[in-house]
Amino acid sequence: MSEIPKLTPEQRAELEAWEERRLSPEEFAARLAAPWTEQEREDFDALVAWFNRRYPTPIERLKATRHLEMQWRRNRLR
Amino acid sequence: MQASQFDELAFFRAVADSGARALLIGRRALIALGLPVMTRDYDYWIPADDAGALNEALRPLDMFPTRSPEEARRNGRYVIEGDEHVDVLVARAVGTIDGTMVVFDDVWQRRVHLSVGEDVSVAIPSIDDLILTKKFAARPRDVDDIRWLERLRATKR
Repeated sequence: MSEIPKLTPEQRAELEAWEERRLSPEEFAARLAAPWTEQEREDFDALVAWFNRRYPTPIERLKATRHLEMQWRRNRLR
Repeated sequence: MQASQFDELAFFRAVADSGARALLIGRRALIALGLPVMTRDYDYWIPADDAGALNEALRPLDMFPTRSPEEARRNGRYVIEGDEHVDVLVARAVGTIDGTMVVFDDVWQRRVHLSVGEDVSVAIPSIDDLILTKKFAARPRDVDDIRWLERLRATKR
């Protein structure tokens, strides 16, 4: 497995700014109108079905993702 | 970084018992509905009059507001911080990127309650309204979230 690339603080800030940017109305509409492929639809349905089987209640889902988020944050700081 | 001792159920109970009309929006709401997405923060939408009640309810959990209710009303946003980070949108109405004005009172009327524990529930917008809230900031990930919410809505019908 390849290593996760290490970002400098500047690169991370640039990436976050890119992710946080407001889209233009045209770009927003175009992205929204992009059709799903059959594979995307199948993958999405399978992932959601698994997630809801594994964590059947809202509080279980919230706790699980919070735990994963904290793990991710800890690893990112290493 | 140490593991947080944050008690999520106590947090939701405090919000529910605060008397504030607080709607959980953002990705935490998506997760509660069953979508596997990641997020750091809680996002709430409240009317300005309810900021004081929400702030007071969370103080016992060592969560403190970054602005007074009056400042929050003027600014339209503030944060409640402790072990966790809560972004609070304070507005009577917010416009979407495609020009729709979304009124808090209307969204509150159509809210749904998700049970998160014995006698504790979380108020979230209906899926249709949650999609509208994703058009406030209109970031790339908001488009992804809308596409997922639309698919979830279709599979629930």
